[in-house]
Amino acid sequence: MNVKQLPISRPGVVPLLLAIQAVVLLPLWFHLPSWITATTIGLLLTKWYLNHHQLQAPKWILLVIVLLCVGGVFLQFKTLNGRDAGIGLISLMYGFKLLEAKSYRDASLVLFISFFIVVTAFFYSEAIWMGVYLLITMLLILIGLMVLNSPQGIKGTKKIGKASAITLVQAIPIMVILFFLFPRSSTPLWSMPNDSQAGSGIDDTMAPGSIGALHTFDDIAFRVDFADKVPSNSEMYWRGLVLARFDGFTWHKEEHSPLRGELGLPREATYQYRVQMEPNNRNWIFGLEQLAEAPDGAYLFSDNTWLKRRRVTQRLTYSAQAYNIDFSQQGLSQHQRSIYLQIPDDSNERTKEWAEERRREHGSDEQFVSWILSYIHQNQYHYTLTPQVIEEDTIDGFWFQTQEGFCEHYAGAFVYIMRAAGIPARVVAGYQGGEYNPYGDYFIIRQSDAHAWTEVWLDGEGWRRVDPTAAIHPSRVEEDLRGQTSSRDGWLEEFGGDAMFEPPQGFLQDLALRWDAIQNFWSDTVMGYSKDMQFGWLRQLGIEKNQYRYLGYGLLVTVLLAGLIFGYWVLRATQKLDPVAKQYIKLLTRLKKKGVPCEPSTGPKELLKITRRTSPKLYARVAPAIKTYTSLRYRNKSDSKDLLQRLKRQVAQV
Amino acid sequence: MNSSILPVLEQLNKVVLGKPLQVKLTVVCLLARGHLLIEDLPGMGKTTLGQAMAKVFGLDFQRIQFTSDILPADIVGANIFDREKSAFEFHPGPVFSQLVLADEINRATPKAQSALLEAMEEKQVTVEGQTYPLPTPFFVIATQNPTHQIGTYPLPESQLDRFLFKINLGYPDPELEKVLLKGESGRTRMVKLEPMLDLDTLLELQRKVDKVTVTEHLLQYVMELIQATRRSPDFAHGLSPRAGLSIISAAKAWAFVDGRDYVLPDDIQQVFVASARHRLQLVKTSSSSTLELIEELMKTTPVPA
Repeated sequence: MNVKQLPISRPGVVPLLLAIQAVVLLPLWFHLPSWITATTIGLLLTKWYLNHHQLQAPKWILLVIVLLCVGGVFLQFKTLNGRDAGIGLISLMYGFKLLEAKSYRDASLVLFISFFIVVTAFFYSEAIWMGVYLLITMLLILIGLMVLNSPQGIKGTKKIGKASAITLVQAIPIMVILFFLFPRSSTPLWSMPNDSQAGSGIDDTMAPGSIGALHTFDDIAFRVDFADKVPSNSEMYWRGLVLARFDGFTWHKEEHSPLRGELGLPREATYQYRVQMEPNNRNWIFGLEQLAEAPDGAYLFSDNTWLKRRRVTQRLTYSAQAYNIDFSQQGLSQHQRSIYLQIPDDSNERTKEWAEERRREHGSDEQFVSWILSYIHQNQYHYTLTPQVIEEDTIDGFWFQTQEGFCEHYAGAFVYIMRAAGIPARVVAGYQGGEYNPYGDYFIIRQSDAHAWTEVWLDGEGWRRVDPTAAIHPSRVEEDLRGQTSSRDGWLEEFGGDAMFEPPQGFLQDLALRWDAIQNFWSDTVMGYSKDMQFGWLRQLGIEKNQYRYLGYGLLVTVLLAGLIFGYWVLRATQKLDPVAKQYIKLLTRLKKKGVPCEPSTGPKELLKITRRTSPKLYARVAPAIKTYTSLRYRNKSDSKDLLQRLKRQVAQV
Repeated sequence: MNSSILPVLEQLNKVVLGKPLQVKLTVVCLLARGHLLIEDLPGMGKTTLGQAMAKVFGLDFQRIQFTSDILPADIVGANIFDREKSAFEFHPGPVFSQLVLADEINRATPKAQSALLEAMEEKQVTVEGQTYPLPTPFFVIATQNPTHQIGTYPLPESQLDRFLFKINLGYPDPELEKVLLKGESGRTRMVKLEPMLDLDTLLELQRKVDKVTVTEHLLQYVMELIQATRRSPDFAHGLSPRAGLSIISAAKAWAFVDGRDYVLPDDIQQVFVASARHRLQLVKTSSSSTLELIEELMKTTPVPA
């Protein structure tokens, strides 16, 4: 019986196809333009109605609507390419295909397209629940295929569902092996160009309040896992940007060109780590101080920051090495010195004069830096997220009047004072600290960990990190922020409390960390499985080059192995047969190859007739074999051994 | 083709035009010692087939026209008081005949129907404690109108099971119908029919049919077919073991008519529809016909290699 000739109007087939299409399109409906969503739903309902009343939509109306839809997509996106336009178009066509589906071929095409469309949902979300949803959808499509190929249609779905689930489970080992072996690109499979996903994070300008605003976001900026040693929380300064130019209100990033080589300074490797960064839609990435060799696709700049050529719009994973760099050999050119001493002439005059005077009271730059920090510590400087707003001369206002602010106030004012006193200084923006997740053995750095600190140039020592925020007396830090400042900058440890990380407390926080560990595993190891990771474990196996070739070998071995297992399975089924049956099956296989249409339900007599009709030339050789077979099988003959030998000879001749 | 059966079939096909398969099945049914149920509209040649069978095989023939007021005694006979002998004497009914044509059996009440059907099964008749054997061979050809017609009592499933085959005659081909309309009437052709076999030969043939070989593999195939009917969600229940036995004896007769002393899966396939159709009941939700489903079932059940 050829199922392909059965009508798809068998009970349950079309409703099942409709259900599958709805399930496949469901995650896309939330992202597609509303008219496309409405149209696809409308197409589903129309098909349901037509099927229910056994009607067919007129061809010309369909054609007109299809053209209208293509036009609509083009008007909406101004193109038919790209992610959104492409998915919109294919979703519409998917709906139309089902609407006009009449035959087995149409229906199977719809199902096979489903396998493709279902994965486009990954363009919009890579979350775990999406993975689970897609797996369930896959099962449903498999059920659809089985129902389509079953003459009874939807009847016996329970059995079919079980069979589909078994198929899916049987496919899992192959899926896992292919997952590991299939050659990967360096970016995740799902990255699409021009993906304008919004991201939050540190900007390349800093005005009073800009980092304070980030502080309310609990979003994850990035996750870090360390290879072996882990720095203490107070050492974790995640350097992002250097802000050097000040216009009297806002700090700006200086434009640089990337370094071609390394700085060539003596250094000592400290921590090896891997960052898994959430998209921030900007092109700077963060590293543990001090930064040196840039990860793939990024460049090292002379201010010891990394920039990527493109903005980070997809989850980005990179490995890096932190160093202790001895900057003492490095000089500061006249040009650089002028950059790091630049302050606007026409504002904050009071601070400027104050700084110049105070500097004269101290012998060295270093003494002056220490004195300013202790000045902050001893005077009524407060750390708060809600400082009073200052309209003009912000630094004067902060330093002398309000004396309260967030890290950017302190970093900005500190650098301003240093520069006014003739000491080159700059603001560094990034993140400080991180929350340890014991379930995944990694650190979570959130937007609320955003921080600004400073670097001052001390002749003979080079750049030194100074975190003026950490100098604030703990009693003057807002209650709920206390944990943060106390953990900062080891250089000023005498001002702060102990810098130890506190383990998570409470059931909910514990649960949140566990969930984050699972999510991290999913997005980092499963979705983010890239060339680097693939080559990483190959390296552990001792494969340093020709990796693709070895992956190819691996795939080949997998396919062969799967084939062998399948072959063994088939063989075992035939081995149960007795020699007569084996010979007959051999004969049937040969006849089938020669184009004789024999079905499993064809009896020997019918087979003779068919052979005589379809290939008379073959008949002369086939007839004796079939006759011997029937004698062996259906007549009680005593000389069965001789007959079997004869049958073997006759089958061999066919 | 069996040499002694071939001329019989030729003769029958001269009278019943354009129905070689049905004619062959009827002969097979007789050889397998079964009974035949023909379901069709009036005027399709059911009676002609019955009469022709009787003539060709040289059997004595009785026709019982079933009506709604027929009584069991009208079929099996009754004890009637003989005044001369001062005793009751049994007067055999029309059922005491080698070939009984029970016309429009489903127009009679269940009571009358069961009188015939019991006779078919037991091959004897019991009247008032006295048992009278029926003649051998005893072959019943019952006809029934399609059950949706007015004034019919559908035969219960248990009684349908007693017929080896149920066949339909159907309208003849237009070509043959023209011949039929133009030519001499069936009755006159019937008169010309000569008996081809005597009684002993027929009984001998029936004994030969019993000896036809059925191998293990063939039984396996029958088993699988029967089990497929039991698995199918379209049938209320599958075929009974008795149905399996009927299929095998029918296949033996078919193989014998084909001139073989062994049964092939093809023989099973030839008799399967006729033997299974009236024994399978569709569930109410089924959208296909029994015939379609049985054919589908045969196509999906592989013949064991």
